[in-house]
Amino acid sequence: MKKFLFLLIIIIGIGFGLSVGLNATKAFQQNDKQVLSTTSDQSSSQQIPSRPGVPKSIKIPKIGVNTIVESVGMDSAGRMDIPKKADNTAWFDLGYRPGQIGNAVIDGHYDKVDGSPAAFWNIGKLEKGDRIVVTDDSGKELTFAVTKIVKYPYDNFPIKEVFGESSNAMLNLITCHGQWNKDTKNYSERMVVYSQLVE
Amino acid sequence: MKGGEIMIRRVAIATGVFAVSAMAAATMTFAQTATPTNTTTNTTVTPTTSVMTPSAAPATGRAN
Repeated sequence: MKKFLFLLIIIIGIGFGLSVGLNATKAFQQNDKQVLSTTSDQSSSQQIPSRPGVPKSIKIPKIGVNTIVESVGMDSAGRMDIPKKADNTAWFDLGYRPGQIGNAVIDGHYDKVDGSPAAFWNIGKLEKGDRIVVTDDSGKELTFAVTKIVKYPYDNFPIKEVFGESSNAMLNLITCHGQWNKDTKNYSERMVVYSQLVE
Repeated sequence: MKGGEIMIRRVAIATGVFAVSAMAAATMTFAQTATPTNTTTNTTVTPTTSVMTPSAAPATGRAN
């Protein structure tokens, strides 16, 4: 009789323990699902901003520019590199993309080796409000409006102002200006056409 | 030992055996069925733009 009671108590105890263990497991898994659900909600509510594409062509209707945009970095002297062809332009691909918040930069030659006009020969004729249209690698067009044109001495060029941060999506065009120095093979100034994204 | 004391002792032993059995069963059940928590953190990566600036303006004159 005593043995029977002892075994009965153990069996009831095991049954009770199994029940407690299963309930604890269910509560644990339920809590885990809630945590995962919360994490999932947080990630889906955060939008990853889209980045503009790589510029492939540029049109400046007022001065008849409609040409290719190459992608360049820096030359061996640490300067922004230049387009391979005199009639092309080049985007500084280590900086901001046109359409992105910041100063994107496209440069173009002023003239050719014989002194004849190159891609950006006429950008000095642009005025505030003139349109510049850049087409990216997905075919999307971005339109910029000229805000100002400034000439800087070559040896006092405001790198950060032209290439650095901005609170707006800027596109700055650079070409040569001033006097040609035969010895240094360099113009004395640089002209910068500042423009801002309008659509 | 009186009959009442014997009864109390038996009840105490039975309660102890019950508690130990229940705890052991609960521990084993939980350990076997609880799904391990996925500890992988779901982080959202904010895209950052690494921007470089050249040291000088480009040589845009007299293209070859």
